[in-house]
Amino acid sequence: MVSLPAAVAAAEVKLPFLSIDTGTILFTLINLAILVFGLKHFLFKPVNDILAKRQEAVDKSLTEAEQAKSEAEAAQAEYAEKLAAAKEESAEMIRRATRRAQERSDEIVAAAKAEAAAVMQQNEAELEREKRRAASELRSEVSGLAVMVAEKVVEREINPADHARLIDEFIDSVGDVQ
Amino acid sequence: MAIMAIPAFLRGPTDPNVTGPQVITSWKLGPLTINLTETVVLEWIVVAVILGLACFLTRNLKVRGVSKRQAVAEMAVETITKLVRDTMGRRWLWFTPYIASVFCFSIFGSLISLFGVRAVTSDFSVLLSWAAVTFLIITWTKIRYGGIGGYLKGFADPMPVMLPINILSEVATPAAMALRHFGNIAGGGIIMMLVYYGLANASHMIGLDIAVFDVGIPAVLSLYFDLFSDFMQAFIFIMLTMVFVSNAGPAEDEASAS
Amino acid sequence: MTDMGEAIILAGSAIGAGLAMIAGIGPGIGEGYAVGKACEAIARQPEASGAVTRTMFVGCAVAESTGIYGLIIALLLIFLKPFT
Repeated sequence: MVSLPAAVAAAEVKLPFLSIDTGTILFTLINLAILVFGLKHFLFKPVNDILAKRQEAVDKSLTEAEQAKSEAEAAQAEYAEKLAAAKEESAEMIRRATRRAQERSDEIVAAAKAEAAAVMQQNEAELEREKRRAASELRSEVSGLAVMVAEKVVEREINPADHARLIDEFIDSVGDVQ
Repeated sequence: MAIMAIPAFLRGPTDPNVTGPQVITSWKLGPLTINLTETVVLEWIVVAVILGLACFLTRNLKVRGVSKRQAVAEMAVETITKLVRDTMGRRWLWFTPYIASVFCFSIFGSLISLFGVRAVTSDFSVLLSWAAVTFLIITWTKIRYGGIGGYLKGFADPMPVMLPINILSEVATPAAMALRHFGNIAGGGIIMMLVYYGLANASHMIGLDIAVFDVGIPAVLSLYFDLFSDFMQAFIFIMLTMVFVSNAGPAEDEASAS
Repeated sequence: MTDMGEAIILAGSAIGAGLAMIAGIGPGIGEGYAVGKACEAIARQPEASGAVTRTMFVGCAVAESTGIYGLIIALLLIFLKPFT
């Protein structure tokens, strides 16, 4: 069997399996401190710096995008508002024109109707007046005649011949009048 | 004999010897003996590798056009930061580098056993010192948020009779953390060593001087005892550290309100 | 120390190591129960699987520590032979 030289084996000092060794604890603490500071300096600081920078860039571009978006939305809202206002205005104009035309036509029709009614009324009134005047003229004529006849009768004795002539005269005069 | 000419390591382990780390040099410092052990040298290697990796990953970082290296670095930082934030809350974010350091130290220190040397984390002193740091931070947090009086009064809670039990539970926290990690890694290492030893003996039994069974077969067990166990123990160690430390302070909303 | 005494101590250590590993029963049952419950929880709420798994692993690790203490004692008794 091949084995290590006895001198080397004897020179090896080994700690027991479960041992608490002051030197090891001391060196381990120093090594741990070195590792903590080393990792902090060589790994965490640069990487966190880069991450912060990237976060900043992302935030910046996000803010810009949001700003652009809100601007575009504002412009769109403005256009929509303007469009709606224009539509409203044109509709209002059409409505107003229609109303005016309607009013105008109503006015014209009403005026024509009123005129026609006035003409009719005037005619009727004229006719009535004519009738009344004719009647009153007739009445005054008839009374005049009656008075005349009565005068004639009273003026002379009436013989039959005269009577007849009188009547004829009367009738003639009446006929004249008529 | 030709068979004697093969190098010794091809025979596989022939002596299942469980010891601690080898002492390289030692200094006398008054009553103390400061040993420079195998573990410490391996720690230096581990620390150098981790820091070198960190420097390599964070070389010429860019805001745009991220390289694969940078993506890995960013993912690592973000993952550990998110873990700390989710577990401990936002005001403990400054604690992240310590957590990351212990995690990396533990994982690399355990995985270094894959190169055939002792795992750093199978030395109890290492884990005890990590756990002691956790213990100090817990104590510091309690004193910071409760004052010295509040901290001391906490030991007599709910009644003074509980004093020894409270002191015991205070000390048991780091001791249990250290022992758990140590037990898992060292136990796994011993079991792996016994497997190698057994397979080497089996190879010798069928007449082969080269330990052929040691090739490939232990890898299956190594998947659990080295890779999975190492990652789990590192993760559990930092999880427990975070939970204990954040529980030592007041709840998140109280702290932000005051 | 006599050979007989050493042999008795070794035998006692081996038996003690075996007894110490009885500590593995508790974590075994407990962790099985915890994992079962975690499976139920994930089945009920698959979206919380990350948090459930993380909590389960931490809980398992804490439950396992008693078993690990047993393992350490057993390893000490077998390999360190503290009483010889």
